[in-house]
Amino acid sequence: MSGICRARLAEERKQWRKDHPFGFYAKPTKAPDGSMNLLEWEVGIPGKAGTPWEGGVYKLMMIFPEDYPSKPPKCKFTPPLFHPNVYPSGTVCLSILDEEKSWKPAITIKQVLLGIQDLLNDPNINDPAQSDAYTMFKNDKVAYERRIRQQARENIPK
Amino acid sequence: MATGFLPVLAQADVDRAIQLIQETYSPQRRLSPEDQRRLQQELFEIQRRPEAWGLVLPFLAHSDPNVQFFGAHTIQVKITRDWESFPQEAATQLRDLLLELTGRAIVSGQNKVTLRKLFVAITSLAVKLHPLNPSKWPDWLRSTLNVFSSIGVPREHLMDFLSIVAEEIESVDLLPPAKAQMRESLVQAVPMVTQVISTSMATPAIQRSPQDLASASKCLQAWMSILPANDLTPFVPLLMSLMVPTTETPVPEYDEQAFVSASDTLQELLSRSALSDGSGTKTLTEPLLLWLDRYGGAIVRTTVDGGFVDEVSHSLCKLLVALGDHSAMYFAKNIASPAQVSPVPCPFPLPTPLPLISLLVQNFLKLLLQYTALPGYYGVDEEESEMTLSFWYLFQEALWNVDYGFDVTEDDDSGNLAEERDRDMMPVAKAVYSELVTVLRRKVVWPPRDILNRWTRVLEDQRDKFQAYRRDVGDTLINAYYVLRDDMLSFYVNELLQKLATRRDQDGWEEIEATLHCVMAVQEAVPVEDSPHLRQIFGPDILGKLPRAGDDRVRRTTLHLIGNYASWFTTQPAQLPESPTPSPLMNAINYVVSALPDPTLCLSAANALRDLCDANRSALAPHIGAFGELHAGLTGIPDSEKAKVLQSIASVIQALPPIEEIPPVEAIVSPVVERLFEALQSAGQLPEESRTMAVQQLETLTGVSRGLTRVNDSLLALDDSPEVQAALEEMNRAREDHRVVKLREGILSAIRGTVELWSTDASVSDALSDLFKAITALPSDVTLISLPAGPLLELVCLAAQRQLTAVWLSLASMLIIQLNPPSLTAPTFKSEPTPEATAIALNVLQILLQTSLNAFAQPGVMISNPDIVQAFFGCMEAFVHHFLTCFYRLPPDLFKALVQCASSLINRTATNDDLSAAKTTLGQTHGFQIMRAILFGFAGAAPRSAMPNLIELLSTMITRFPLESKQWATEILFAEDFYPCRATPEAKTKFIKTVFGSRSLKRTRDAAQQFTLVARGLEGSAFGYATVTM
Repeated sequence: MSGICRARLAEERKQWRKDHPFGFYAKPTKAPDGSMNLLEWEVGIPGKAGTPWEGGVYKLMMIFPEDYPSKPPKCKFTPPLFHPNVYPSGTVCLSILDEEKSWKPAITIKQVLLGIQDLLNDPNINDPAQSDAYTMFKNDKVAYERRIRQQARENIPK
Repeated sequence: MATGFLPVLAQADVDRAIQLIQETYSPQRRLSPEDQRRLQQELFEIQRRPEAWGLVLPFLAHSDPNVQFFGAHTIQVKITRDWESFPQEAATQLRDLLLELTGRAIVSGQNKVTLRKLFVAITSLAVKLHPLNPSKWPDWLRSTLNVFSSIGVPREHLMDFLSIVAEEIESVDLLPPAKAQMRESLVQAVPMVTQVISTSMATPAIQRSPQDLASASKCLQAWMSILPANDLTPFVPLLMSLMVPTTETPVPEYDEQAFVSASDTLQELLSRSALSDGSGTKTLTEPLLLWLDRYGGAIVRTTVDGGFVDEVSHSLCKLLVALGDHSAMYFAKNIASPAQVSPVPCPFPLPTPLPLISLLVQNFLKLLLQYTALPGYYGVDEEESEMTLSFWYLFQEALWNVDYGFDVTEDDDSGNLAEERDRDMMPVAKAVYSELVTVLRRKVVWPPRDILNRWTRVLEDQRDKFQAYRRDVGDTLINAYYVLRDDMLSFYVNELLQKLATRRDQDGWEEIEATLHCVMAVQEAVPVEDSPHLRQIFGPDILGKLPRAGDDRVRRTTLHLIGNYASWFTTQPAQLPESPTPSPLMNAINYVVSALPDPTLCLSAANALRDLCDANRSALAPHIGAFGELHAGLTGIPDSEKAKVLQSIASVIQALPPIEEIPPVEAIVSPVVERLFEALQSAGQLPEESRTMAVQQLETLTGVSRGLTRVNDSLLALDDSPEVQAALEEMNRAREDHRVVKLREGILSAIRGTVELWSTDASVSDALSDLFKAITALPSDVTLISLPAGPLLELVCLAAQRQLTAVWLSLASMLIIQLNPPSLTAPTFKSEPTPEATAIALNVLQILLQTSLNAFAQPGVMISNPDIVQAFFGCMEAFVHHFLTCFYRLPPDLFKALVQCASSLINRTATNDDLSAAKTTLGQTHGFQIMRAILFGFAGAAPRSAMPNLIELLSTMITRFPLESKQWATEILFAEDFYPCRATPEAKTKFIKTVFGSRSLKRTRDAAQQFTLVARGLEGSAFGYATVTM
């Protein structure tokens, strides 16, 4: 891992420790011996209150490339999420996470996670990533909301 | 005071402006928001006029502080925003006027908010004048301070001014050279600044005004990132002197305000200065440790005894956290250090002899731990414990990363030294973390019911807050686990045994629940290996004594605990059905099953059961009889969870030999299929209920299909060992059993009925999509109920013709791949599809193409349905990979339409500016495949009648993606798997050169025709020319 990447991730972690939005969590993963892997974080994104996503906390892995922050992290819901802009593999399709689109090295982990939280209830109709959720969202909003609530119920934190 | 250079405003305008301010901001007047906005807008308009500079003097001279503030505000805004319109030759006069006005405002005792605005105005003016070449205000900071000093401005205001200067210059948006110049002017002022602050801080308390000290602290904080380390260190003893008690007996008492200011400043010093991130351990960490050693304990004692965190104590906690953040690595290194601390300048008497560093570090850890352990509930009784949690993971990481080599000489054996340190350090670390684990267990105990009810009534968010706190504590515990390992589980087990042994019937379960929560929280760190502690937890003495009725919370936590540890049970020997002692696994299963009928616990129980059964298939298979009973007793379980229970049972069935799977699979699947038929039949009378019922049955079938699919066998497809082959043959034989054949027919027919009736319903189509994915498989993963791709493709076509959606097209892509599966016997070679499969594929291709192209022909359809377009191309790609020849057996009109569609898609995407991102995606995702299809077509995969279409497509590709196309073409033509043809490398090179050298359609056409002839061995034949140049 480059010095820049390590320093930036260490700083991100420090900032997160000092201030993070309520209900979110974010932590680097650990090897069985307790040593830390700064390039892979496990995070939790709560659904916004007043939306069908409310009540669920959705687990996501952030995988940082060696050349972060020049390149964005890959964000992957585990298990994959039913959402129009989430690929069947769980990977999130969002412009601020796309090197070719709106990614900027100054974007913080907090901003990424808040961006994904916004995306949950406000899908981008121009970027279909999975056909199941996209089709339902497009064709039957009521059924879609019911399905989202069901998913929230499965993701109630323990 | 020379003011002639300032524009003058008519007195009436000035009066009107004053009136507006007084109306808007007078506390006596209650304005509606609209009125307030209107008045503010009018004021803003006046302020915007070029002659508004003329407001400054009369406003500042007015007796109303609100009007004075607007005077300061106006001059600041004018300098920042309207500087271009100011006559530059008068800049010096403006500067002198501003300094004079500010000095006068300070001396006449104007409001601090007005003074702050004037200070901002001075800084803004310096930003305009100083970084010019030549500078119009070279020594701006020094000269301003000189002006202020000459008129007797008190020190407090000097420091306020300096604070503003540092803050404004840090945040101002300037080009880098100008910013550097402004910073440099600050650096030059450092000696002056430190002198003012230290004089103020060193003034004895009785001679010092409270505002003076507050200003000094604030000023130092503002300059923190500018001051070099050497200039910062002298402040450490100075700040600590402000935190020394005013009286020491009978109990130490502090000047609260001085203490908090100094502590805040030290926190900034630790986290945001040249001394942050662990620097200055001798000058910062150790002096603070000595201070903590002398005074910290008493403050914490008072807090714990009094049950109340006062300002001083709260501030101390923040200081401890900041020091922990700063010095975690130092603490890890020195937790067992035998060295004595070196003497450092401190404003209080040092003990003799000087203490060992290890004792000072341990004292720090003890103090911090006491804040972690504060009595009461987080969020209600205290807010401090949460602040300390982050230190405990930092400290664990620091312990793991201690650089042992830091003072190792070359002769030393660093390995041994590391071991020694490990031997000395770890016992201390373990003692600390043991204590931490004990207190955190207590901190996560939910309050008894009466208190909890009050939370719900009075403190709405408190439950959520406490829940989030318990999660954060869980993360801290994971770090503790790495230090303590088995000892930690042992502690929890003893805790549980003891609490269960002494529990009386009327007692709550909160204490026990908290311990279970802790065990659950550390699961991700606990290795999957046999553990006597976990055996005890899931044995008769603990799990056997936990409640099975009422008491939702402890039962839910137990269910989550079991679910989290599902894979741990695989480390235990399987229990035979006839054995009298139940294994931990069977205890867990029984516990979970007993919670299934309870509506509030059903979700957690079903999830735990699914995880347990999935992870422990073969150990549970001998108990299939018991699962039969579970299935028979499912009536009380809500439908929403029934699918998971059946999935659980199915995963156990999967571990049986295929032939033995038949009766239980039949037993669980047949009723579901029957209910699905019932739903179909009752759809006429009760459409809504029937549809819901059908969706539930489809979900259940999906769950069963998933359960029946083997786990961890993804590499099986490549495994042609005799055992694997035998197992597959066994499965295939079992599939041929008439009972299973009939069952599959039933399922298929029920699915067909569902598609026919409800394929356009969003929920049904979603459920069908999941089911199709779960109930079909490649031959290596086939189950008893796996359905063949052909009939399902038929249904997909039917559904797509009724309503074309991305769902059906995606399913078609998946099923097409299954229609031409990799061969089981020779997986390295791709087998040719059977004629039957090809016939099905051709039919499906025709239907999907016709349907999609008809849809795309409508104006705007492609733009507004990116999902369908994407899925369509994905589907075509699957056909290209698996049934390429089908394309050339299409009716000519359809083939032409397809090529035109591809061509126009590429053209339109590329020429529409709004779609430039889509163009890139199109190129990246499909470009290579399109090019491959074209070139394969030339080389012989396509009939020659298709040449004109392919050439048109090639030309479009070359125009729209010139660079990429050349690269793709080269790669494809020279790849080993290129279509077998007679084109030599020279012919290929020539083709590429000609096509990409000209980019004219005519030359492209000629080159492509030539290449086609060469590749097909028709070069020089009249037949060849006649047939390709149509």
